[in-house]
This record gives sequence, structure tokens and C-alpha cells, in this order.
Amino acid sequence: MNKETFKPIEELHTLDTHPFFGASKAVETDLRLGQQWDELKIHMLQMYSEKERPLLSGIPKTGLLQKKLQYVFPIFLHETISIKTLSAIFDSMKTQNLLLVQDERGLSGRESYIYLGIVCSDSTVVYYKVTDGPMKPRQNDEN
Amino acid sequence: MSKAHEIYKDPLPFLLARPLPPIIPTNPITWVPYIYYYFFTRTPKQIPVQCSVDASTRSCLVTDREGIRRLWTSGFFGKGNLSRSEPTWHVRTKRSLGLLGFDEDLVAEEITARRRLQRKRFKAQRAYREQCARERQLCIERKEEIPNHLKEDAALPKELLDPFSSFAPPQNPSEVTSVPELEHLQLTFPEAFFLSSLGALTANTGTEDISSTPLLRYFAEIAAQTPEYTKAWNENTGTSFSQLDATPHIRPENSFLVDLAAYYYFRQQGWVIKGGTKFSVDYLLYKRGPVFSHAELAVLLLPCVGNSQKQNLKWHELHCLNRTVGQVKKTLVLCYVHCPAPEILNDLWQRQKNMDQWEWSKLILSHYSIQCVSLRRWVPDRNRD
Repeated sequence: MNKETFKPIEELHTLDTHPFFGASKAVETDLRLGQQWDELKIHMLQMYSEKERPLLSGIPKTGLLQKKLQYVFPIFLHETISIKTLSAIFDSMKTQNLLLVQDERGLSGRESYIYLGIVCSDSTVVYYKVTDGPMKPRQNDEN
Repeated sequence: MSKAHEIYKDPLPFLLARPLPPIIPTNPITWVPYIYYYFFTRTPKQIPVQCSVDASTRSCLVTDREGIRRLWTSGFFGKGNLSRSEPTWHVRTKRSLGLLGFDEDLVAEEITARRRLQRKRFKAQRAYREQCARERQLCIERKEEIPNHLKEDAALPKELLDPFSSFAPPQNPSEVTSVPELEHLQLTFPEAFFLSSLGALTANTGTEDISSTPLLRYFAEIAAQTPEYTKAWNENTGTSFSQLDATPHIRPENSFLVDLAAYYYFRQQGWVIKGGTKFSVDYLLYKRGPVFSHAELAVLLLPCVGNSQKQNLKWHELHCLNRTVGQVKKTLVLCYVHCPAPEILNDLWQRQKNMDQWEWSKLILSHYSIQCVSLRRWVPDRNRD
């Protein structure tokens, strides 16, 4: 943690008129100050023709996900997310050549995953993992 | 524990007159306090706490430290945005940077972390002792000499004895000396409305002046608008944002009005209400507060307009929810909120111009009624009642 951690990342305030600014700001604050992730960046995903939605990426410091790049997609609790939206996320990540994170439990080994950061109005942020393909079942001696 | 009773003694941020000493008719000296208070004092005036409305997250933010303390200690309103409940980010960050001692002023999250570590340590010690006992048994069967480290009173290895060795030591590589106050208290719209109606809170927006708009109408319009905004964005229907109404039509099952009706209902009965997203319900009800005990009830809101329910659960969803809630030892309560018919609500909505803001809000809320049903799983051959 250094003095830079106490300020939001530069790219965030360029989004302040965006409809999803509230969710992105809540997730960015939680990742930077609460979970203490490093190297937070915002990527704008071209989901449908002209419209873009922000995607955050960062590197966790502690725990099982240590030192590996992770992606978090901020959404609101009152939104309904369809399969169309989820596939659009993964498709735009591939089109825009973002570095994909492989899921080691994926069936073919080529599935990638992101986290959905669901922002509630009481400031709770709940994280869910979404993989873009089938996964093998968890083995008993795995973490 | 008694300290908690002292700190959290006010159930609401409402100043009541302090009780006066008992009056004895024959002793004129006891009349003096009453005469003094009759002539010279006025009811203590509450200074409302300021907050700013954040429409996109449907919440109100409080940044004034004294205001945060007052709202939390009298009624447990709001949640720190970087903490589990009470805003404690500042203390925890200072401790992780080494700016605060290991055991000074422990907060809730840290007490839980220490307790979990102690439990984990105890389980590791117990597993080690059981392993030693098994090896001792094997030695006896093979008629071998029991080595010293396996004997019953042998010392445990060092890493199992040292209580906090796996606690991350404070790290401050960049030599940060002070930590700014970056956490705020976040209030949901029902909480903010409730506090405003008591005179304990004033809501401000950065851009417009809303002192003339009734707060109920302002919040209901935001709640009606935000799902439309995000839906249009996600479905790519080609709706441009200028087509979305500046003043959307308010339906009886408006999520803010339904949440508010249930909030008032439970608050009037003395429950402390917190968000229940982590247990996939709408509200968690605490008897006195999160500090005193765990939540007893998990409430799911189901709005009904006339005879039709706007939201229903399939059997497997209800079963799943009941199991989840039962696993965490809470009781599931389905709260049916009966909303007025659309024509009645439209008529009441129009009447706002002739009425005082709070009288009008009271009128609207009086048309909402609540019916609760609690659910518990019952197995004929296992449960007695």
C-alpha cells in the first residue's frame, strides 16, 4: 500500500457521465482499498455496436488467487443479466485482444473466466465467478 | 457487553427530553426544576446530518464523521462501504500498516479473524494429537519402543503452539505515515427517507435543488428510472437515453415504495433492518442490533397489486431459499406487500401539490399493507412440532 492507493485510478473519472459509473466506482473502491488489489485498470468493452461498458482488471495480493491477473465486471443488483450479455463480454474480450485468464478446471482447458461484481444499494459488493464453458467437477482434495 | 449497552442505548437518533427528578407536593424545593424547565428551556433542537444522494447506486452517502457515529450508534443506520457493517476501514488499514498496535482498539472484523485463527489452531493441534495417538498404537502393536516425540506428554511442534504466527505481520514498504478517512456511510433510500421524516437527515444533490420536491417522489422516480436505463443499455433496443422520461410514471409496485412500506412496518415494531443480499433475501431483521445478536429473520418482499402477485417463486426456488436461510439458522419470512390499485395511486400522486410533503407521504404509505408468512422445513418423522 502506498500513497497512490489512496486515490482512485486516473481513468475512472473519465467515466463519470457513463450510466455504469456508480457500479464501476463502487467495485474499484472495494478492490483498491478493501481487497487491496494492485495494478487496477479499466478496459472499455465494445459490447454492442457503439455502446461500451467498463471492465476492471487487477492483481490480488493475498489468498489463493495471488499474483495472477483477474477481471471483474461491475453490475447493479437491479439489472437483469442475460446470456447474451455474458457472451458479449467474452466475445469483446477476445476481439479486443485482452489477455484472457484460463480456468484450470475447464473441460477443454481453454475456457476463460471473469468475476461479476454485483453492487447493492447498501454498498455490499458480491462477487460471482463466471466461466465461458463447461467445468470439470471439483475433486475432494482440491482447495 | 455492558459497554455496548451504554454506547447503543438510543434506539433512534431522536432527542427526547431528559426525565426530571420526582416531584413531592409538600416539599417546595422539588418544584424548582419543573418551574425552571417550564419557563427557561426549549426543546433541544436536533441538527440534521447532511448526506448526498447518489442516484446511480440508489443510495445516500454520509461523510461527516460525527454524523456517521450518531447514525450508527442510535439505530444502526447505514453501512460502511469498505467494511462488513460499521465503518472500520481506517482502523484496520492503520493496523495492517503497523501504525496501530496489535491489540489496540480491536474492531468486529478483527475479533472474528482472531477467533477463526484460534479455532483453526485448536483443530490443527487436535489433529496432531490424534495422529500421534494412532502412531503410538501402531508402535504398541509392532511391539516397538515409543519414540520420545510421540509420547503422550510430548511437547507440540513450535508452529502449532505459537498462536498468531500465521497472521500477516504489518507491512509498510512505502513508509506511509498517515491514512486518510476514505470510507463513507452508505444509506439505502428507505433508510434515508425514514431518517428525513424524523428530522435527523437532510438529503442534498450536487446539481439540483430538491428542497421543494417531496423526498418520496424524488426517490420513487429514481427507482423507476434506473432499471429502464440499464435495460435499454443491455438490450441494445436502440432507445436513446433522451427518450427515457424525465418524470417516469410511478407504478404501485415501484421498488422504492414497496421497500419503504416494509421498512416502516418492521421499524415501527422495533426491529433493526439491514440488507440481506448475502443470503439472497431482501432484509435481515435484528432484535436489538447487529452488535448484540445475529439476525433472527430473513425477509423476502413480494409485491401484490390487487389480486395478482407481481413476483412469484417457483417451488424449487422457494425450497432452495428456505434451505439456504435454514443453514444459517434464520427463519424465512415471506412479506406480501399489498399495493393500491394503479388508479388510486395516480389519483393520490396528483394530490401532492395541495398537501404538505410529509402528510402526503403518510397518505400514500397508508394505502400499503403488509402480510407476513414464516416458513420452516418440517419432516414428519424428525421434527416434533
